[in-house]
Amino acid sequence: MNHWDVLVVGGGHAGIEAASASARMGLKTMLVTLHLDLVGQMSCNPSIGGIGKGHIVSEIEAMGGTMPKLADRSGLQFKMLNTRKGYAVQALRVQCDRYRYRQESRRFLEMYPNLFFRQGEVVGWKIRGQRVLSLVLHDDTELEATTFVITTGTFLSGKLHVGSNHSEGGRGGEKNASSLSSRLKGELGLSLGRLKTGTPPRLSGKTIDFSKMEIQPGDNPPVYFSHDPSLHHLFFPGEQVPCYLTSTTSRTADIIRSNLSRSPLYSGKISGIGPRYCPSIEDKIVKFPQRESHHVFIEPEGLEVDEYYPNGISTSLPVDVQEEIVRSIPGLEDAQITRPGYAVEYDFVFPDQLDFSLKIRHLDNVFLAGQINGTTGYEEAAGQGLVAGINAALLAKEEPFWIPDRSISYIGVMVNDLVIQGVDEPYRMFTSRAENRLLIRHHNADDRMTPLGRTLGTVPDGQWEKFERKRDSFKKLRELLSTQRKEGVSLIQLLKRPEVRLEQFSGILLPHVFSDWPESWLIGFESEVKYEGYIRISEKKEIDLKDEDYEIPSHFFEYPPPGLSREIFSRLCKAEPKTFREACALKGMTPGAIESLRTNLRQLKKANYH
Amino acid sequence: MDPIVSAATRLISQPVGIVRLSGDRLFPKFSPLIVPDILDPEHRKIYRIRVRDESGYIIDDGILLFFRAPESLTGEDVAELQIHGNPHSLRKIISHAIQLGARQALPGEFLYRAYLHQKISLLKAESLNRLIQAPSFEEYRIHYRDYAGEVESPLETIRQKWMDLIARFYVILDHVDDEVGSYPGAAEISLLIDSLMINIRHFRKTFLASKKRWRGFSVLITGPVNSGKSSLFNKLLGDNRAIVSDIPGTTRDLLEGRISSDHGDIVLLDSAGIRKTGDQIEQMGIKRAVEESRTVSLLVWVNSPDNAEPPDLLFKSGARVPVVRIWNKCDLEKDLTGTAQFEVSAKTRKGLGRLYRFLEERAQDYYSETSLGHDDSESVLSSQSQYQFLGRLSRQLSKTKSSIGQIPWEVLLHDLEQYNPEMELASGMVTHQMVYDRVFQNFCIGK
Repeated sequence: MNHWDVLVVGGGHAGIEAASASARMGLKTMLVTLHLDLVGQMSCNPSIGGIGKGHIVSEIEAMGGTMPKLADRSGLQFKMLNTRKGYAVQALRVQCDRYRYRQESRRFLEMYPNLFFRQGEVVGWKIRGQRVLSLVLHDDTELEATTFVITTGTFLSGKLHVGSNHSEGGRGGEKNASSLSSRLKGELGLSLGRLKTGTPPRLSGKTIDFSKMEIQPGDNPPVYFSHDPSLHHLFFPGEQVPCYLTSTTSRTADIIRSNLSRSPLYSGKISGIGPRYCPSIEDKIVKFPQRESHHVFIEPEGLEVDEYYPNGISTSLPVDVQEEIVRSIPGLEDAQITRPGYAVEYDFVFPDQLDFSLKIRHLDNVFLAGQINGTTGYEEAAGQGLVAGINAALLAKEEPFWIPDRSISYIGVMVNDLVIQGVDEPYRMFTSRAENRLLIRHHNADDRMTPLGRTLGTVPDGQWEKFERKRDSFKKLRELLSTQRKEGVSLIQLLKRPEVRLEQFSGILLPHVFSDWPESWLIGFESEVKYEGYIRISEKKEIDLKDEDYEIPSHFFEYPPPGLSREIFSRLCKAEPKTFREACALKGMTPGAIESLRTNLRQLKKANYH
Repeated sequence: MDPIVSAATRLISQPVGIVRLSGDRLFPKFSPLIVPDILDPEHRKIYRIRVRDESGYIIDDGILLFFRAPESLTGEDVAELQIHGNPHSLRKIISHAIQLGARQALPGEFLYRAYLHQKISLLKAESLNRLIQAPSFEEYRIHYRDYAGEVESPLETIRQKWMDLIARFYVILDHVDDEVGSYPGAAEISLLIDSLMINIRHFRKTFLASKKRWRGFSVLITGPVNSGKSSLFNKLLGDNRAIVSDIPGTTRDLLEGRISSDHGDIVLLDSAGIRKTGDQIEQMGIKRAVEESRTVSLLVWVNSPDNAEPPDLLFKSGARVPVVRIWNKCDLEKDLTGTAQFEVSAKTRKGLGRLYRFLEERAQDYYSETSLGHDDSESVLSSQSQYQFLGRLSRQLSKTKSSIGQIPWEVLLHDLEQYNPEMELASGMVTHQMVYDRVFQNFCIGK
């Protein structure tokens, strides 16, 4: 009775993604967590997405994942960032209602018939050789599983600090996982490090004077992560909720400087390494003394609560100092703190001990995902959760792993960076980390990842059909633009020029060709054409074939394999390539199709051994 | 990595021959090479040994030096056999090592392994190579300084600025444009590019100058046959015998005389008379003169009565060297061409003093021009390929600067990033980590 295919430990963003991916792939999945009511809890700022992170979320969406849907369903404000810069650096950010996000997480997960929950603390395990057989809970229950995904976040020996007070805890008001760390080290032979992160105090809305701040509205109309238009609406009536911008003053800097000795970060009480991005306000003041002020964004926490999150003043200074800091900020002169800010230090596992599937190298069946691997951010955690969940499921099915490719996705960049370079400070995704960033953009995440997701079994029918329809429409428009000419140049060539917009063609072409296209399709098409122009053919990064090749048996083309679009499949049938490499060399093979084909052939190869 | 073997000395007969091995855990794998049995040699120890060939016969004796990883040349285990330098026995030893599992090292592979194990940077490895190949001690000294890191290589300066530039691009990419703050924008990027281009221009200039400097201020005395070139040559040298230099110049197939003037050597070259001829040997001489005429600093074309031909024959190929026309034997007749800048007589010495002073002035110009901005503490680019790389880089930077505002930032960055591999090859690593270090040191990004 108590045996599962995949067992996920931790109900945070990584755990949610891992459990739902495994469930979508049809495996009997169990999620164990310390606090069942806090599944999907956001630990610090109530938003999903942003620079670099938004790319990860759009890739999760392309693979049928959960986080983007939760964000859309609980979004208070939707904003596409960097719209004044090129398409490759644009990313979506959604401010969420923290409570609704949690509710939706639970509701969403409960919908899977093969996904089960258990509240409890994992205190140990049973191992035979390299294989973990079961996990043991604090109440002596034993949970057996074929594969395990551990996503404990900041809870491993977590310690909270506010001024000189410190307590054991993984998050404000929640206890930590105390015995697991030493057991991971001792029994599983893992090497651990210590990191730290911080959070700002929360403020009572009715004590904030918004008139002194600059209003920051969302996009109109809102842009959503989901491909599914049935999710394209606010979950509440009325308009999007705005954020507000204010900033620290020289007085703020003075207060902090005179109280540095009381900061656990500076008095040496906290040993972990913090993120250079998103540092505490103490860090900012000390490192950049010449700056007059630092931005503070006031973000709403939820529709039903009158609490706000001041983004930009993470701190672990004592509460009395926090109050002074808050009051020195324009608009917050009378603000009341509802919960003080704090720093948390926690253990993490050096990720160079994992392989590219996120499995612990020296064990047979345990995967790690999320902040436990030294990353920071919900999105980074979810991306790893997706990888670990899929691979744990594949392992349970005895199929070969999915190794995300860094030239095709930000998820790939992240996994690759973690495993190869390890972590010496909390890892956060940036657009600049991806050398192939011109090709891996928000708007083409589906091209890159949906076929692969379909092959792996994480993309449901509805999403796949919509994707195929989109590709067909794009193909038709492309053909149309290639044949129509203006002043001797084909329209598609014209569109490659930076200053030309697709809308300019609606007079020339019959209006119904793309007049019913959603905005995301228009941008997607235009950016695809423009970026082809930017990247000279000779420089275009070849998809890393990783020295591998597979024979394509003649019967392979009898039936379309999952994940390959009809168009690409018919192209392959016509060309009849004998090997994988031959197939890759064919004209029109998209990165998504190559990934899908590779996975299909690997599965076939593996199957042939049995 | 797989063990490699190579002779470190040339395979010619000489007193000592050196065979080197590098790889993970060389012993006891290669123990059969030597007598006595050494299964686990100590680090930095010298052993008196004899060597065996493949059949087991002892074929030579010498010493074994062993260095255990990572404290060795390559960072792996390194074993060095120093034996007699007979090429045949050395080859036997090498093939025995191959039989035991080693592979003949490719040219430069030991240094490459040292680089892979981070014992040496690419720049250092390049300097090392040049140091060994340098044709003169001056050249050697330049490369030794680079190798020993005594002066900052110009490429290092460029690399630092390059990383600053890339860092600023990263900040632009990674920060949200609607959050106003002190982030780099078009103006700052342009300034950085300008600064880099100034540096590049400077280093390319000093490289060209240093190339010129080593060649010296050379004067080719040439002209039609019998115009009295050689007498002129001898007289110029003779009158300044007191300061005729002892330093043998680079071998040219022309008669050469060096005058050590205050500013630097004046190298006089006496050439064959230029004329059309069927005589093969004479033709060869003329050919050499024509070749030389392209690379000297100054051409002196000597005419005289009966030999008033202009230098056209010489300039068929369109040489761009400055020419000074001399009318020799002016004691016999004045300048018939009307084109000579100097009327001299080698015989009576008329006009020679003035001619010599003219040469001195040209030499002064030459040497002050080639030492423009060069002081001994500053280093110079060390190769033509570095020179060319910087030229390409400069052109790209210019292109990038003029595209700001029209082409998206990430595309501009992409074009620049294409130069990272070459930059790395030329000057050392440019990694994400290094760039992020700069990003976080200089900018407060993120919430």
